[in-house]
Amino acid sequence: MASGESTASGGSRGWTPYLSVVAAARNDDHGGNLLTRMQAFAHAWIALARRHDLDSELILVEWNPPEDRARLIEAMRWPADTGPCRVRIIDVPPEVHARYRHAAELPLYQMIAKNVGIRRARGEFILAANIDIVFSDELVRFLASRSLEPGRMYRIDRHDVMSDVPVSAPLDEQLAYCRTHIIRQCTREGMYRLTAEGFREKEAEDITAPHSGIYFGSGWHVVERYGSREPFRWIGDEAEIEARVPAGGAIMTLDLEPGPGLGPLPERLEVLDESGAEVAQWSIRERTTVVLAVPPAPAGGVRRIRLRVPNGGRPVPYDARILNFRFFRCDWVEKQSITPPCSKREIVRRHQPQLVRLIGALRRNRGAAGLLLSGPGLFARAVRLLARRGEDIFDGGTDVQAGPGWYGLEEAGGERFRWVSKDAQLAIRVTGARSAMALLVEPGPGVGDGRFVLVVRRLNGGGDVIARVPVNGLTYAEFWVPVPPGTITTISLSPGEHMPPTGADPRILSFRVFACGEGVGARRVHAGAAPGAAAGWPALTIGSEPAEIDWAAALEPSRREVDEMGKPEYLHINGCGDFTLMAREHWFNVRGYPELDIYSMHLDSLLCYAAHHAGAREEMLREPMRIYHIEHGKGWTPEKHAELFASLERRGIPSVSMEDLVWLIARMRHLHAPVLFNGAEDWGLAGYDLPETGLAQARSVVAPAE
Amino acid sequence: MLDDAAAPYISVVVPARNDDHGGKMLGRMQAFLDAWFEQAERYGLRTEIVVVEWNPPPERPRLRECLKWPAGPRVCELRFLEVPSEVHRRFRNSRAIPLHQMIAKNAGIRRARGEFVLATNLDTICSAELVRFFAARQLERRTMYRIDRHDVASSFPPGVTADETLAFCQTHVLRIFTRDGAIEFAPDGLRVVERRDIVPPAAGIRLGRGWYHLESLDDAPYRWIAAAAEVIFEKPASTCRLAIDLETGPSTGGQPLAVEIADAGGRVVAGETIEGRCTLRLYFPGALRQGRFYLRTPRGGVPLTRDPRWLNLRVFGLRWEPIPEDSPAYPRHDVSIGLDFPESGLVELTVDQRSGPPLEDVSVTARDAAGNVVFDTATGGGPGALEPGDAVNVPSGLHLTGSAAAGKPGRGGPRWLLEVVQAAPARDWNACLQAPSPAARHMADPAYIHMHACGDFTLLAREDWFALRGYPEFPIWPMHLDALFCFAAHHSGIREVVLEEPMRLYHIQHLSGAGWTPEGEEARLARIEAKGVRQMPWVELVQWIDLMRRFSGPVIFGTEDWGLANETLAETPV
Repeated sequence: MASGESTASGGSRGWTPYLSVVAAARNDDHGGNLLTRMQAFAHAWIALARRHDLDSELILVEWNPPEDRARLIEAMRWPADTGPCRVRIIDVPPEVHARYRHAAELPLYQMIAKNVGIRRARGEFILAANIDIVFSDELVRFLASRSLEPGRMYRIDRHDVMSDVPVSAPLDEQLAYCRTHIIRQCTREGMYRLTAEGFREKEAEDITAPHSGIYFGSGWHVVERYGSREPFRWIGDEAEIEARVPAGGAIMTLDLEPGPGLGPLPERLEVLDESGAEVAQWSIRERTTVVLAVPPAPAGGVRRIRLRVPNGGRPVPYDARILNFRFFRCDWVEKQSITPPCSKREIVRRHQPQLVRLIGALRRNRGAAGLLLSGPGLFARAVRLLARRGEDIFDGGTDVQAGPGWYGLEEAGGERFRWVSKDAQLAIRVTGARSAMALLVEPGPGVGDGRFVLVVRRLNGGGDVIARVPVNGLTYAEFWVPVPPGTITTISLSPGEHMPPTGADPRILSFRVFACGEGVGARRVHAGAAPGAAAGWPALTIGSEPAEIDWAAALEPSRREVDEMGKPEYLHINGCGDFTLMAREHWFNVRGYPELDIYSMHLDSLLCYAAHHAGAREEMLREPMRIYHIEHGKGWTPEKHAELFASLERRGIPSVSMEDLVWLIARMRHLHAPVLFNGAEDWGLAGYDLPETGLAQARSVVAPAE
Repeated sequence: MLDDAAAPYISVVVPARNDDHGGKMLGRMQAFLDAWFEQAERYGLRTEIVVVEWNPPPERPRLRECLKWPAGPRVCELRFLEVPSEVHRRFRNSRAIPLHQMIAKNAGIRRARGEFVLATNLDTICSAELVRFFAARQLERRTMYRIDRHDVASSFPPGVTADETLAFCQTHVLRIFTRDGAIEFAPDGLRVVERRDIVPPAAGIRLGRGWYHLESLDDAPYRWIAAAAEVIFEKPASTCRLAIDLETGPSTGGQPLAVEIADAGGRVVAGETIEGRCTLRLYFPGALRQGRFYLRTPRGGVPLTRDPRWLNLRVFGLRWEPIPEDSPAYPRHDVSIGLDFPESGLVELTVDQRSGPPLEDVSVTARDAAGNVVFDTATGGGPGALEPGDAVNVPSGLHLTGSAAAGKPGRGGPRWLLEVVQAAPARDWNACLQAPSPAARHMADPAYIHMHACGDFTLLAREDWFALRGYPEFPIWPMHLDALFCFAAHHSGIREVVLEEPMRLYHIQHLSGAGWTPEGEEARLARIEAKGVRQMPWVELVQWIDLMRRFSGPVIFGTEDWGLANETLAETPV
């Protein structure tokens, strides 16, 4: 019964295109090269609309045209026939502009200008864009498929391309130029330059080594250092790692800690492969180092690994992002460097005490006959294992990462070893054809009588025991690892039983290991499943320490507020002025962009959040759909940004600060309502009868363009 | 399309449910209806009352079954709109808050037919002058009408005529909600002096309008003032001056502040420019024993970030002080009369000034031969200060001397004097909670809107309510949401007009905890806390106000479907 707001304004309502594209400009060479960029924009849109037979209108709002320059319609070249696209140019005369308080300082009220077009648009859907945007063929094909839906706000990543777009070249040539001249990408998480392969470039000081071949894709926020000793990156609910995995697979180590986005700890972090299958997970309570055995990509090349936080997503009041985990490191495990090769005699000389004990133990256990029978072979294998040892006790040149349960490396009496109390874990990639592992192990005081059974379990296979090796004195132990060669596996080594600590060392010293690496073996194991199959990837938690920040305590004062926000969306507002597409009714519901008499910074972002909270849920248009933005001199840089705000302050022009924006987003999340700034139904200068020029009319009166 | 003649000029929107909210609810609502019906008829005001019956309790009758109204044709229509429980339950907090007042008002506003719409509550009564003003059809568009709320005692006589009701209201005012806050009245009809107030009790200094609530700093009480604050005084003795201990506030923007004293008629009688903490000594004209004056700050008014008020002056105390003999601001001219009367008895002495600057506050002192003062007209049972033309009887046989304060030459009439004693330099307010807004100079039109009790009286043209999409519809405790609306109205270019006396809005006092009363505030907060319901914190309201001032624009939270536009509400016209 109650009347809705009037949504009709201006123009004939007879013709209803599917889509209206609205952009605002004045011929003042803002940003430099303005006419060329605008020419590329109009040319490409009209040509693509024709190619895909997209029933559309292109509305250019010419705001406060400079007296001494040609009008846009005159200054640009137009095709003789614009096909299914109508071109409308709407004038906002200087007298109207002069009504605004900062008219002398701000020549173009961009948001109000766009509203002028949106208010007069006739399309079922309205796309607010800018005059230097070129759409990809796939994007316009999608638009022409008429599958847009109400209840959505369509957004897209922006690709910035070099400015020499061949304006007069045919469409495909223009698009090819854009595809091959990309400078950077404007994503939800920020602006990134792209590598030749299309990865987001890493920063100079990043959480991975410069040549690791690991790249941080969507979901990774920029590198920060604030309040921390070392650089880190936040992730929200999902983040993609793009990695060139070394041949045969490799072990990735991740160093991370929980953030404010998580509920009660510990919280799960899952790893998904390209097919979306969960391949590993960890439970994280504090700052933790984990390792993940990454199999090579099925087709070689690049692996796309997704990290997922299933139960995160809680907001913070002072940052619009969702901050579930922050990562301090994401890298490949460093292989132990191989000690320089030396003669067998030299090895024997260096490790004489251990080898003597090995022989002694063998004689005790097996008698003189046993020693004669198997002694030479075992001796040779022990020497080989010691010869392969890197700086630690592990094989050099092999991917191995010690997990929990190992004491640090010790050196005493010229011997190098690590003590173990129980359950020493390690991740290892057995590359040899025989899938065998070997250890040089000696019982310690923790096992009392100097003999025990070493129990070997395979952790990523459900913890099943793969070997029981009797150890009595210094022993060379070799056992089969039932995985195909090249696979990474995690195993644990345990004494069958152990005694309480004795003597001066309070540690439980069950046994010590002098060397650990690949064995020689004698038989092949059965061929298992292909590497990286659905069985899951080996993953381990290596160690943890208290986190730098106790978020639960830090957020306690705002706990209730945060709880009331639920799990809100972190919208893609970077470059949203270049592409925001919604059904017409949504634009009218939020009354277009905020028409505040202030500098336009962040007003487009406020519109996105308002529209979202008024029921237009964000939907991202994905590759290969793209928009290209033609680079110009007025691009954003931090220096220019600071200078701009100083200048606005000097001139007395208010603007929405980053702090304001974040506060307003938090309020919308908290109140579950949009925040709108247009307090009247005459938004978009609805009360004005603005002069409008169609292309056909214009051409007859306009002299040929330059 | 409605017939213009039949269309109501004003729609009065009240939300309600029959749950005896606040106690004696039906009685108060009946008084509200009776007053509207009777006065609308009397002044020919075409009105509709839109009662939005929200989430009616199933076990109780509907309101229309409990209330009465005159039969037959009337100029005042009555409509009952019902928002059923199913709709109510869709909102968050529906269990803890049985009536979402703001959404209910919006539902009524959205369906109102009047040219103008008054959002109010069921326990208000308009004074005759107010209804007469409505009936004059002088209301303007793009204007938000506000008014002080007069709270009257709840010992309300039932079943009386509107005139009797109004007479009761007029004589039983407990407090007034003004732009500056609530003013409580003492039995003598003046504002009460609170415990540890900035004026001593029973000292003949009373505060009138323009004083913000009592605050304290390190245990020292103070009150802020903005542009003008009223003082009502009664001098205890002739040779007294009023000492006003104060300091310039953050709304001076760090500039020296002009302070004026205006007399009861509003005429500026003294002024000084001050900065920092100082004591003003105000000397009254000799003849003025009692009256009122205004402490005014014509400039100032710089908006602050964390306080929506203008804090021009902080007043720590007002007190009487004797005027010392040597007060430079009050020079006395001693005149030796030099007559000795040898006879005993009384001599009549007439003060008769022939020349020179006009004298005031004349005193006559008689001394004996040894020079001791044995009589003084200014003290000890004497008649007080004299003025030219006065006569006094003095004992004879003594030496008489005269003394008089002289005004500035050439300036006639009663004379006020203001003296400034500097105590401390200005403080840097930028480092304080009350810091001035750094964006103050960019603000196009900051205002401190009369938001007190605005839920009881906010009147705008229907189209203006629509432009603003009504009140914010947050399903929380509705505190401050009405104020948020008023500020949004202002920042969308709607002019605020506060209707002045004798136009009044009376509000019948109800149980504390239901609406806002100073004494009930703590209990109310405890109650809503216990329900686990949130209200918009004051700090947040202030942040919204600061944002609107900085952006010179309103904030609106409603979408096109505000006021339950998509619901069909059952309507019972009666």
